[in-house]
This record gives sequence, structure tokens and C-alpha cells, in this order.
Amino acid sequence: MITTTRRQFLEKSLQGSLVLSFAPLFPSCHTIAKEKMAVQGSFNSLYLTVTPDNQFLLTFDKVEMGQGVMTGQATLFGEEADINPALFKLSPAPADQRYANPGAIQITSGSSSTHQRWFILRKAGAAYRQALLKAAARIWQLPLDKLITADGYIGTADRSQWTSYATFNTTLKEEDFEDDPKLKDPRTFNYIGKFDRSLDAREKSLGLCTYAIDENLPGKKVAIVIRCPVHGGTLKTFDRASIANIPGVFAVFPVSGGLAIVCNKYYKTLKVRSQIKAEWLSWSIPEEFLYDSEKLFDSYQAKLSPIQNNENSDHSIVHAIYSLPFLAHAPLEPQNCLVRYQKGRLDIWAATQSPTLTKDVGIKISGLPSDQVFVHVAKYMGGAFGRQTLTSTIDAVEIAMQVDAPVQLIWSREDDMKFSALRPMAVTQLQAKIEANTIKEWRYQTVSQSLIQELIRKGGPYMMPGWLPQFIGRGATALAANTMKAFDMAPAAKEGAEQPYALPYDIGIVQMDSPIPTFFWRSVGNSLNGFVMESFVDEVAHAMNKDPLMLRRELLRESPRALAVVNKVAELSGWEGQNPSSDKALGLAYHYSYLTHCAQVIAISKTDESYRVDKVYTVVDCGTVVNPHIVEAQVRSSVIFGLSAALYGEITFKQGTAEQTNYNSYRILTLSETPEVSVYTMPSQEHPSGIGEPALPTVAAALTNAIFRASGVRYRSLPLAKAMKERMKA
Amino acid sequence: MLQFNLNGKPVEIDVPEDTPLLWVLREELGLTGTKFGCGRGLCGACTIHLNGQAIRCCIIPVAAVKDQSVRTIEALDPEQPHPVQVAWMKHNVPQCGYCQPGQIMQAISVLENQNQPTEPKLLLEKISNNLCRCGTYHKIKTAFLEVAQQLGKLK
Repeated sequence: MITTTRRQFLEKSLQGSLVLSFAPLFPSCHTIAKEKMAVQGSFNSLYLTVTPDNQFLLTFDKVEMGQGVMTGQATLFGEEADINPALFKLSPAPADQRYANPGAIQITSGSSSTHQRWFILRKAGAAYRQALLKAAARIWQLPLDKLITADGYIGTADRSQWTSYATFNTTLKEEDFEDDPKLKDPRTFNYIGKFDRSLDAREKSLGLCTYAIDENLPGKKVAIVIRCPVHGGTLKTFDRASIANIPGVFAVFPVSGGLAIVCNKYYKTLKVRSQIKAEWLSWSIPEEFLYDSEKLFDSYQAKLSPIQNNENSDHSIVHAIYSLPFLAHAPLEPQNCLVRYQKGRLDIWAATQSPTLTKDVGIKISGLPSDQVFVHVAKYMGGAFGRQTLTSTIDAVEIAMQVDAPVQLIWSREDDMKFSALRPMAVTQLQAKIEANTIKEWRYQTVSQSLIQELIRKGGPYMMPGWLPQFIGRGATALAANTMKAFDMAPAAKEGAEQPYALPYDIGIVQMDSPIPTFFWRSVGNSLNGFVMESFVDEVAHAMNKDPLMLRRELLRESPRALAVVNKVAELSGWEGQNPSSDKALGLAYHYSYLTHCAQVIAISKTDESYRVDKVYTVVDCGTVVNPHIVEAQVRSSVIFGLSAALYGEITFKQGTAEQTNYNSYRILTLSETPEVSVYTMPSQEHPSGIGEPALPTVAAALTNAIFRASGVRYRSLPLAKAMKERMKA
Repeated sequence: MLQFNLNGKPVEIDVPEDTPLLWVLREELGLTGTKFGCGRGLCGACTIHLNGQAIRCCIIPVAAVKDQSVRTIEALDPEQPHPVQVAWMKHNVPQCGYCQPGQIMQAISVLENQNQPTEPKLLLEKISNNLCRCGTYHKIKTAFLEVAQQLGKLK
């Protein structure tokens, strides 16, 4: 229950841009419903607006990146409000702390949207529908149980009374909204688990939807930022006159990210880039930042603790070291941000996973009060996968503050590959002590960069409350970073290293630091540790002379949901009847992330030179399925994303400069390379859990485990295409 | 001044001859349905038709289309969607949707230029170089083969 006092506190805290504060609990559904106001005959609430002509406008507060969240939110609300999800007109929420998670920024991440909104949106929908029923009973003087609702209409079963929800827009009373409305019995669901479409499929198929990069304003200029080719380097000098004299250049000035060049069209920037001579710019680059990837891997490996290899007749030791590269998100829409600074007001059009953080960047850089900074969240984003948008927003706001016109910053694809924040590389060792056919020790140690540190470094200065003086803000940032370091709060690097397996975990982490920016990449630490853990479980099974399925069954015996997905995937893939040979084999992996259990089997067969993935069997337990089509689509999407990374994905550095620049050097899977992917969802009535990421961490290990079973060769580094080539050479 | 036919109508523009057609469409003519993805002809987000053939307009200088016929996603009437678009909607193909105008224009061109019924695999290869980072390939395949079947393009 949220008391009046707490509500008042919430409203007060909204006046500042208190972001990392200990915010009160998310307003419960009744708080949301009670915020309704009848404005010009409309019913308005935080999520729903009903116009006088009975149109339903739903605000979705998690951003749509292709993961289907707008459809999911419409389904949850519509189910309880008795409104067909297809009837909603959908628009994205603005930056508003009321949409934030407890104690956090307003963000869409961690496959958590449906999990977080499962009750909130359903209760908001139910409170609205029940308020309508009460109002109708009162006005029509009918008993409540004589009234029914269906698809935006309310009345009696015999339809002697039958009218639109909108009829009651102005007659709903505060007390009609229940604090804790009763929810439907899942057996009576009309849409949850049944609604099987994407509400944006129409616009997206007809070419009607626009993305942030498509935004335009009269007089718009287009900017690029020339960056130091080496992360951590800074602009030292530039020959302003020479650059400003290139035809097409409107303005040139330094910004924190490098040198901003403003033109009136993007195509002008293409020419300008090619005409800037290297000698017109100089950079300060500390020598220690001139990384070479090979040496970097060696230096990571050197940080690993020596193994305790005192093997004797009582026990044996299994030990393995895995190396994983930096990875780029490479969403198809290049990073961009449109900003207009005019008459003491700042407008930001952005494809952002965190509207409030984007807003805070605007407030901090412009120095404007919070109520003069507006974030226009892109209704559709051209993919995200965790890409960090802070940098492009910072660039764009800095530039727009200095130009007397709206400015759109656009990164080229090369900028995106070379300068975007990456999934960190990692070198990880695992060691198991096996005694009397049981695993007595299980040591994990990873060497990696922290993602949190990067978030603090980039976002920290903007996340402090607006009323704090800058120097305190900076101090607090440093304090927060040190606190996290002190408490070893680098969860991302070891995320997923502890699994439902009954094992004596001993988890260690060595945190590296470098100016190479790192960030959350689809499934985050799980993308590293799913591979590491599942490879090693197979290695241990091999050492113990056990079938990999049998070992997993033993280790998961206390985790019924985990065990169930493993058994199911074994059944569907025909694991137990298989006879692995050098021509054909299956590889198994299991991983638990974002509260979802995922088991995968990859079937491979030998080709002339290598192996081919024939089929990927995936079984997930993600609790109640809200939309079966979207669950299947997200699983397949994750599998393809994981396969692209497993086979080809790496960003490497030579003399500090990223070697991959576009989709030819950073390959992603094509249609004809994509294998069949079957998806089985465990029937469940549990609270929904994540689905946008959990089918990714298993992919690489299921593949290398299959290769091992076919060939006896164990690949411990990715990408596979490179590892296999190196092996051939050797 | 440079002239070409765009979606059935003559257009005239005044830009340097080496300006990529993509940016002429997006920035000079305000047609943003054609997307910028890589700028090197690698991803296919900017796929359009030049005289009925699919091309990647981020690497085509505008001078190359002088007096020729260009067709973009905007030429397709949302009120009377192309069978490819109908199939895309039916199978809920798009995820983020950013690559889909390119995928759809590629698919239409392949089907329009396929005179004889052929093997599904051969037809699929012709749409296989349009990248989709979300990985909607399974749905693309289903939707595309269904239209190909309807239009009598499959053996």
C-alpha cells in the first residue's frame, strides 16, 4: 500500500532529477489509476487515455527495440481492461521518473520488461475496468453482477444497456478505483498466451514507421564527430581554418568526444571526411593505450592465479582457460541524436534505452531546468541489444548548444564499429577437483573489464541530482565508483558464473581497466559465462567419463525447472538415441539467466572442410508466455545473435585502433547461413521471466561441445572461424 | 540539374553528381523509407529498384540514375499492399523493422525478375545478402516462399 505521505514524497522527488536516489517503490496500480483526470471529455491516466469517441491510447513505458514490448504491454493491460490489444493506439512514454524501476533510472534492459510489468499493467487495467463497472452500476442503478464488459464496451448481458467505455470518461470517481483490484483467473484469459501477433508488424511491413534517424526539423544541420582513432586519446590541435574552408563545412569546433564538424546535409560530411588531411589534426595518445589484442589477451592471462595442480591418486584436477573477444552490438540503425536548443528550451530526439538518463544529460550540459528539457523517445528503435547511447547524446547536445539551428548527429557505420562501447573481452579459468567420482572443488576466475565502471564513468556525472553543484556531483561519482570497486561490485563480468548446478562454487574476479569503452551487450556477463561454464561442464563430464546429459541431470537434481528443460531438449533432439561420430554429433548446453531456464542442443554434421550447424533445438522455461509468437521470435533472434558471435564476432585492436570497421570485417549471419531453430516453451503459470536474452548464452558452448563430440577437438576461444583457421595453420 | 524518374514521377535535383543516391532520396527528396545501415553496400538496408533491379543505393552516385527509373518502398501503396508486404504482415516478420524496407524491396525485385519457376533454395539465395541484426530470417523465409508459391515462382 502506498500511503499519502509516500505519494507526496514521490511527487516531491520528481521535481528534482533525482535519479540514483533511493526512490520510493514504483507507484502501485491504484496510484496510477487515480492519477486520471477528465481533460476535455477524455479519461487520462499514466498508461491509458480514452478519447470521447472511445479510442484507446496506451502509453508503453518500455522502449520498443524490436523485442515486441509494445505488444506485450498492450496485451497485459488489454487483458484485464477487456480491450482487444489490437484496438490500442500506442505511443512511447516520455522521460518521466514515474516510469522508473524502484531506486533506478527509467530504463529498458535485462529482459525484465514483462517480468516487471506483469502485475502493474494488469492491475492498472483491472482497476480501470472495475471502476467502469461501479460507475455504470451507480448510474444505471443496476447490481454489479448484472454488468459485463467486452472490447471497450460495457452493459448488460442481454445488451439492453450497451455503451462505450468512453461514456464514463467524466463520471468515474476517485473511489471507483480499487487499491488492489482482483485479477482474472488465468484460465479465463482472452489474450495472454493467445494473442499471437506483433502490433507493429503492419507499419513496419508497409514502410510507414519512422526511426530517430528519420527525424527532421526545418533548418536542420547534420554533424559528425571526428574521434581519436585510439580510445583514451584526446584532441590536441586542429587547423581550424583549413577544415572550415572545405566546401560544405558550416561549423567546426572541439567537443568532449573529438572534433565536431557541422554540415547542412549528411552527404556533405562524407566528402568533408575524405578531404580532412591527417596533418590538420593532432591527438594526445598515451603510449600505454596503443593496445594490441594479442598482447592484451596475454596480459589478461598473466593475471590468472596459478592453478593448484597437486594431482595425486586420490583425486584428479580438470583445468581449462577460455578467451573471449570484445564484441560490438552493431544494430542496423547507426547511432544518431537530433537536438534543438532554442529560446531556453532543449528538445532531444533519441533512440534511447533510458529516457531519464538522456534527459539528465540534456539538463547537465545545457544547465536548463528540468522542465525545459524534453526527450522525444523514438517510438521504434532500429535494434539496440544494449548499445550505449550516452556518447551520441552527449555529442549531440554539446554540438547543438553551439549552433544556431537544430542539429542531428549521425555516426557512420565505421564510427559505430570503431568507437561504440563493446562487450568486454575476458580470459577465464575454471578448475575442478574430482575425488571419488564427485566434484569436490569448483574454482572460477575471470579477468575482465567492469561494465558498471564504464556506466559510472560515462553516465555518472549526469546521474547526480541536478541541484548538486558540479564538483560535488563529480566527487559523488568517484565515491560511487570506488565503493563499487571496494565491494567487488563488478557483477557483469561474473554474471552467470553461478548456476543452479549443485557445485561448490568459488568465484574470483580480476578487474581490468582501460579506456576501451565497454557496455551491456545482449545477455551481458552471461554471454561470456554461458560459454565458459557449459564448455567446462562438458570437459568435466568427459574427464569423469560421463555423458554430458547425465552429469547435468545429477547436478540439477535439486532444480526441478532446470532439470525439466534439460530433459525436454534431450527428448526433442533424440540425445539418448544418438551415436556421435565424426560425421554427425549433438552438443548440449544449459544456462539460467534473467530468471529463465534455457537448454539447447545443436546438431552438426561434417562438410568438406568444416562443420555445418543442421539444427538448434531450444527449450525455455520463461514462466507464463504472454505472446507465443514473440517468445519464439526472441529465442530465434538470440540464437542467431549468438551464432554470429560464436562464428565470426570479434573487435580486435592494433596499435590501439579497432581493426573491424563494417559488416564485411564484423560479420553477422545471413539468411542462407541460418540453421533451423526449433523452439519449445515449457507450459507454465509462473510469473513471466526474461526472453530477449536467455537463449543466447548457451549457443557457443552447445556448438563447441558438438564439435568436441564429433572430432575430439576442444575450442576454448572464440570466434570459431578464427580459432579453426589458426588450428589448421598449426 | 539532374533528372530521373522516381516512383513514376519525374524529379529534378541539383546536387554534386557523386552524391550517393541514398542521401538524395533521404535528404533532398524527403523519402526516409529507404534506410542508411552501412554506407558500403554491405547490409542491404538501402535496397531500392533501378529499372526494376534491386540495387544498394548507398553506393550508387546519383549521376548513375540520370534519366532512369528509381522505385523505393514509398511507391508501394499502403492501401493496396504488395503481396510481399501482405505476407510480411501475416507472418509478423519484422522485429525492429529497420532492415525490412530493404528486405521487402529485395524480395519484390527477385520475384518480379523470376520468369521461370525455380528451386526454393536458389530463390532464397537471392535474398540472402540483406542483413537482419534481429535475426528475422526464419519468418522472412516462410513469408517469402509463401508469396513465391502464390505467384508461381516455385518448382
